[in-house]
Amino acid sequence: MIRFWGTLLILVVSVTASVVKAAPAASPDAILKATDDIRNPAQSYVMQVTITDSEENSTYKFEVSVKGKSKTLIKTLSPKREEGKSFLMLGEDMWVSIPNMKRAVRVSLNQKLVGEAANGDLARMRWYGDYEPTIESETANQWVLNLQANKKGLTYEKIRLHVSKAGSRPLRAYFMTSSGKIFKTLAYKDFRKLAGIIRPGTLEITNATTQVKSTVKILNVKTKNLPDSLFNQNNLP
Amino acid sequence: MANLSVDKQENGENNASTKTYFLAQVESILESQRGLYSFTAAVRGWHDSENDHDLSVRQLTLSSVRRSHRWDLGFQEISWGETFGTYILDIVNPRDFRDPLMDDISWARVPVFALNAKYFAGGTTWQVIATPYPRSNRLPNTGTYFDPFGRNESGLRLTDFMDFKLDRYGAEAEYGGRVSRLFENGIDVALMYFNYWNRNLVFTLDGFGTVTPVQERMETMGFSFSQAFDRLVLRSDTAFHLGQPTQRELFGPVRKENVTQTVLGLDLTSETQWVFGAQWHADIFESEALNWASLRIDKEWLRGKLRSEIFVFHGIGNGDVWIQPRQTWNATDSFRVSLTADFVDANQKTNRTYLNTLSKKDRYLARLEYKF
Repeated sequence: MIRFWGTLLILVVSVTASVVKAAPAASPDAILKATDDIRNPAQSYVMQVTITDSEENSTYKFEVSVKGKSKTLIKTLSPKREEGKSFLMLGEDMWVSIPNMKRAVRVSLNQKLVGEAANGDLARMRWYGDYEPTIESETANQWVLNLQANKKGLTYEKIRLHVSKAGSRPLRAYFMTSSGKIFKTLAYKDFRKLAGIIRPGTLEITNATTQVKSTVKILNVKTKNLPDSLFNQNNLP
Repeated sequence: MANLSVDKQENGENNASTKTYFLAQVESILESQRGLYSFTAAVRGWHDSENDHDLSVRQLTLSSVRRSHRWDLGFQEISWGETFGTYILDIVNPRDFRDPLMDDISWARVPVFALNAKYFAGGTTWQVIATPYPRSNRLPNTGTYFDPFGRNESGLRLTDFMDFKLDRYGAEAEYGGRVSRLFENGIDVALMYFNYWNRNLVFTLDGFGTVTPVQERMETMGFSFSQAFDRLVLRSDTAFHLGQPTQRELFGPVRKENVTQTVLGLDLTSETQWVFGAQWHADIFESEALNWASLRIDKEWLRGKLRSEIFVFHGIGNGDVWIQPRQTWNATDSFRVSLTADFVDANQKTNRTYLNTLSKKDRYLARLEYKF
């Protein structure tokens, strides 16, 4: 009898201890930061990507250099007729360098890159700090975050982000106007090892109205110590 | 390129004299990099059934790029300014006027042998330029469509521009610099200075029918800025030309005066990717001021396959009018075709407007580009 109660007591204590030691509910900030770390390798890196438009039978190839949250240089590698064209994004400011002109031209950040891909889709890939996250809902397998822009000039006003609870992997993002209307969706696919960590290798961007798709494939990613002078509009090729 | 030029006569008759000439350019770029140094060479062959044909070096530079600075030494084009159309701060390189309606500035610059050094310090960039052996503008040949003096009909002869000799060891050098800074609020500001031989076209005529280009030393101080506000971009260039040789009428008296040029523009990109640009341009002489307005509309269609543009440049109180529609077709990844028309009119009584020598010289241009 005593042995039975002893066993039961140990079991109850173990269960209670397990309950006491259970991890606290994840904060939306922590989830968003973890997702950012999966989507972006490090503070400074270079990657090659292709963007294919489902309507236009053409594939663009870019070399994207990123430093921190606000510096991005995108160089066009193909098609041949656009080769050498560069886009520099510094925060909310953008320049386009066209080889023939021998100078950089200030343009609006709203100018499109290719197909359904906006400049901000390659540039400002970090959302932590730019958006105020809240957990809209959750299931056993995923969280649904509601991201509200907390500054002007961002590519998107509102984002609904689905995140897998297994490893904080981003699954799908819905981009919305300030009124909540979805105008674009992004699906994260093809998770594989890039720069040492499992990351999405393919981003499928769909126009919610026309259903036209643009597919961004990340070919390779290398972390690299990039100088600030690379991200200077006076130093563009 | 195939270039069809239509010369309309002022007597009201529709003179059907047309002239077609072909202009071909092949540019080959070679880049070689070893460590921190790179070498770039680009040559261009120009065949023009009207003018001549030549092979010119567009770029021949040795470059060194480090974390905080870079320098480029050799034949190159150096561009300053934020605005379009008249490129008032694009003064480091002389101009090739063989095709004065060529709005692609890379065709119109004459490369110079220069040292171009830049130092990057945070958000500030310092630039120093030295051109020990300057070059001069280039004019169309005698009797060509854009010959400003109609030399075949007028019988005038043109003296060559100055030939800057190597054995002067840089005594006629051009030099200057630029400092620019991007502030945290997004405003990008630059100040520049250049000491050089005048780029504007001024000519004297002697009693024997000989036209001589006027080339004098002058200085320019410039200021430019740009700022973006969401879909709107504001940009401006201002140039203060000190001691610039000027003349009110062609072959009129030449005097040196201080001239201010300024261009203020804004661009708006709509949600559907229409781009609208408007600029106001003023040239302020000691005795008068001239004004122009320009408008540019740009739109891509069929997901970038087609691009339509129109540029209108109109004098305010002077007779300059230039309307340029253009249609571009990105046929393949390597092949692009564009069709451009230039409709030009001007007040020919003054030498101070931009289009006075181009009055009634309309032009239709088919441009085919193949990159490999």
